[in-house]
Amino acid sequence: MNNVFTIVPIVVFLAAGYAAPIVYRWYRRGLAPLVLASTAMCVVSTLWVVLQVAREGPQRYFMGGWPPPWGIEIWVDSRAALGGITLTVVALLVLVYALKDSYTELQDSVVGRYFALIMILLASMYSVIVAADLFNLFVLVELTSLTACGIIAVKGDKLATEASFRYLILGALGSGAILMAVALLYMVTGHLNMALAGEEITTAVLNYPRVVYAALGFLLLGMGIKAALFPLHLWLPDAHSSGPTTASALLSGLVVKVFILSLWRIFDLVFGMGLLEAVPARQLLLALGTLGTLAGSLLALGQRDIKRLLAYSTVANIGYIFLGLGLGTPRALAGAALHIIYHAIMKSGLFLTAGAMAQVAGTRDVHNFSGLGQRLPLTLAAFGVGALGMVGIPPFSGFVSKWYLTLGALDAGQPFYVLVILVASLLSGLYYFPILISAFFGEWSEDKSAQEPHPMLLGPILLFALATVLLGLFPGPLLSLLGI
Amino acid sequence: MFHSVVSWLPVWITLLPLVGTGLIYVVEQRSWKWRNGLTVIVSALTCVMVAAMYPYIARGQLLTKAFPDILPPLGLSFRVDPIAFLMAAIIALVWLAVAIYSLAYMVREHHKKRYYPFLTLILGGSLGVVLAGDLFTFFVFFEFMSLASYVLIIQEQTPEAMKAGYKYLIMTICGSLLLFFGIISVFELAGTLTLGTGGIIGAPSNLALGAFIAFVLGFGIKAGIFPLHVWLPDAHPVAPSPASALLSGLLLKVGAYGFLRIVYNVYGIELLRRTHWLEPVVYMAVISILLGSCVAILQDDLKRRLAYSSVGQMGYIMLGIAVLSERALFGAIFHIFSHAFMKAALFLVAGAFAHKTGKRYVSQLEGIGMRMPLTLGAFGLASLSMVGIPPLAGYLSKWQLSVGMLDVGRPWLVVVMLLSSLMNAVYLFPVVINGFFGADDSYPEFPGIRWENETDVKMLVPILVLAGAILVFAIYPNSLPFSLSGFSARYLFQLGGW
Repeated sequence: MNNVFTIVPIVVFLAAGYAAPIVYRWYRRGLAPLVLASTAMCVVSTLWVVLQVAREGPQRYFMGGWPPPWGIEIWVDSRAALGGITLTVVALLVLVYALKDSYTELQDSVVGRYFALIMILLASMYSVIVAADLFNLFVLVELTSLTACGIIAVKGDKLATEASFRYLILGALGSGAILMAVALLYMVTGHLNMALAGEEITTAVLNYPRVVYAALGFLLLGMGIKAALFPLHLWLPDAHSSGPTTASALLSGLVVKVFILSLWRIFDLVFGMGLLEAVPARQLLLALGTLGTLAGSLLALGQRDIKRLLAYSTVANIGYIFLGLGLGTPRALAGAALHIIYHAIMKSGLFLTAGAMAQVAGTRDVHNFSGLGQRLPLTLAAFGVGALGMVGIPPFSGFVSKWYLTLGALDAGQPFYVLVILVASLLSGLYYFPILISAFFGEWSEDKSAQEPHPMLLGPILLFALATVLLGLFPGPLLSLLGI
Repeated sequence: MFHSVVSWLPVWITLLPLVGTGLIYVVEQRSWKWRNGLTVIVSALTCVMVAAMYPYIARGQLLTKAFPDILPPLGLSFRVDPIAFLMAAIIALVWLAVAIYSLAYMVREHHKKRYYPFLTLILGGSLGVVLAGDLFTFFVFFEFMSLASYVLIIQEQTPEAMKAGYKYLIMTICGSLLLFFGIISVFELAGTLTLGTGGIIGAPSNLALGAFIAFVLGFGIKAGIFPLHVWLPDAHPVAPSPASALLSGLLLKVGAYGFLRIVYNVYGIELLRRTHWLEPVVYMAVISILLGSCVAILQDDLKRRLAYSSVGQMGYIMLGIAVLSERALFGAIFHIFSHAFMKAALFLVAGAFAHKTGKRYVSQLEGIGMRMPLTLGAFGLASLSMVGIPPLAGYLSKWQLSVGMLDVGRPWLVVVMLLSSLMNAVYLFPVVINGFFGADDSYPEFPGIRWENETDVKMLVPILVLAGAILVFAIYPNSLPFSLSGFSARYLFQLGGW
């Protein structure tokens, strides 16, 4: 029953996180092997867990050998397993990129600390995904938020400091709300373990309905802030665009998704679907998801800074995922789960690519990327693949999740949300295609030199593009693991 | 054993140009001669493979192949029935002619390194569309083809080309999203997307109607039907002439082909007869026919004139599909063939004029026949066919269409077609008449065929072959395209009982 592989990533990431600054200080060349080896180890162990989940069903681990209700439980179901493998693989690629890029984007003195923060962030994100204990979850959410602020602020300029400060304040509000929710749930159910709390919730609703609903409200508010659910997304565009490239990739690709996954888990385990029908939680998620999708897309249209554009596009895509959650039909949920994975891969890839493009062009203004595609065909091709995936052009990844989300909307008898998703696709076409057009068919001013980025930057970029294509063409394993 | 090899043919036909694209890209880094050769070889081999399917189609067999593991849960599948074969044959043949023509035409153009790979890429995409065995596969290739065509449209990279291309791109994305909605609704309603039966949607419902409207709009944009044609007159003239020939001659038809599949394989004749959902399409087609022809008269730019003429001609095809009569469908399918050859020939001739003399405008083309009698002769032949003069191909398709209209008791549609034939004559004949009988200062009298004045042979041969096909396939009325069109129409009308 106790599957030790489920906690390997937590331990390894944490250990590497504490070791990183020390290694960096004393033996600078040891940083890359340390970071890569530890992450690779996590990839292998999560992969093993995925296989076990596929074969035997959900895996658990009791911390210190104490079963609940006394001990802390780690519970890896298929969604968490997929989230975990996505996290470690994306992290591995981003870290390869970071090992080259951090030296140009950051001051040498902070690089060690930057990697420490990243590794701790990864550890806490992974544990948020697999945590089956409410208070444990709160602590990890807090840790995730703090380290996420750290990797933005590490850049040290005014913009990044300001953005991370705003993120910190709003994140603290969110954490407070989550803590309230946890406390209220503990009060009425007497348990912190999610599954046990879930068993008590039906009686709790009968006795203290308002407390349970208040807990749901606080939870939605807190997780909504952290996951950038519209209109609580206000911190996101600055936070995701001002940090170093690799931080943006991790934040947009992984951090926001982690909170959605844990919110989803609490819905599943604690509240149960019946309760969610009783209050208009679904309708709220649908309304906010719709608004987020449309507002994010429209705001992205107006951006000239490529990283801000990608950040607003994240707001829109978070909207997609919440739409899927709100629709609640099996296929819509599958679409949401797929989109969590696909968006993580596509957006991380796009941020890395955008970073490389901005470095070559010397600016993040999309108007200055004109003609870049003739000089950097591979980089821009990767950007094109990511963009087409985001628009949802078959056979790239985004298409599959769009397919399931729209089918789910039709299953729920709500074709309106199909329209929302299609309009958002059109809008995303409107902001991605002009970049591609000017990059490939525009004129490059001859006096500027331009060549493909260093292999350590180009490699991850191309692998992300490859993953976008392959996971779109062969989503079979993902689908069977998600049970559709 | 042998059949299993043959059933792979549609896959190879689609795959060869796609793989060829990569090869061409690699080869062209070394030598443009090899690149040119390879482009033609890929195109020709594709032609041969399409032809190899003929014995099976003629015997009434279907070729099917499914790949459920690619893009699950639906998977890709291929299915070749008579109409799919006919479309593939038309596409492969015209493409080969255009590819050969391009070799000479593109010599003076820039960005050739982009042109040839994309030419081949789109060939693969459009063959994938017509050979698709289900709507999902259809959509995947359709999207692919539509987006890749953008590159051909903006080939010249002039500001107006970029503008036209952007318009095309936006409308294409809108169209694909509409198609996406239609397809997903069909899947929701029917639980399947196969294209093998006479209708997979059982009963009319609001969602079915919504999907149908989405299909009409989505395919209407691609096929350039009024009022969705607005991208077409901008996009087709700005492309290089061989690309215009493909866009106008073939890619528009792919839109019409998709609509045909929707009408006959997805919704089915029964349902549409009962619900009258096709009535608006009939009117859209009529307006396209009249408006396209009218506006074509006003254009002085020859290629723009031809582009507007395509709007009108696509109206014929959509009309033939929409009136739900077997003979009208026969005519529509045959018109897909004849218009593909005629319009490709006309655009190639327009390109030849521009290439040789730099003249793009009808008013400049007076006396061009003195210099380029064979080229203008081909233009004349294609024009006669467009107007519907017997015994050319255009006449046969119009005849079948008209008979079909009478079959369903709508003689006024025949009047529309006659009126449009008259207008076709008004916008096409002046080019021919002024060309042959107009004054040319350097040649007061016809000097005979002078090869130094005539189009380059590599361009002339494809033109003459396309124009010749219009004559040859019409003089032998039971020729391949004609009988296959009849066969296809019968097949689509009697699905199941065939």
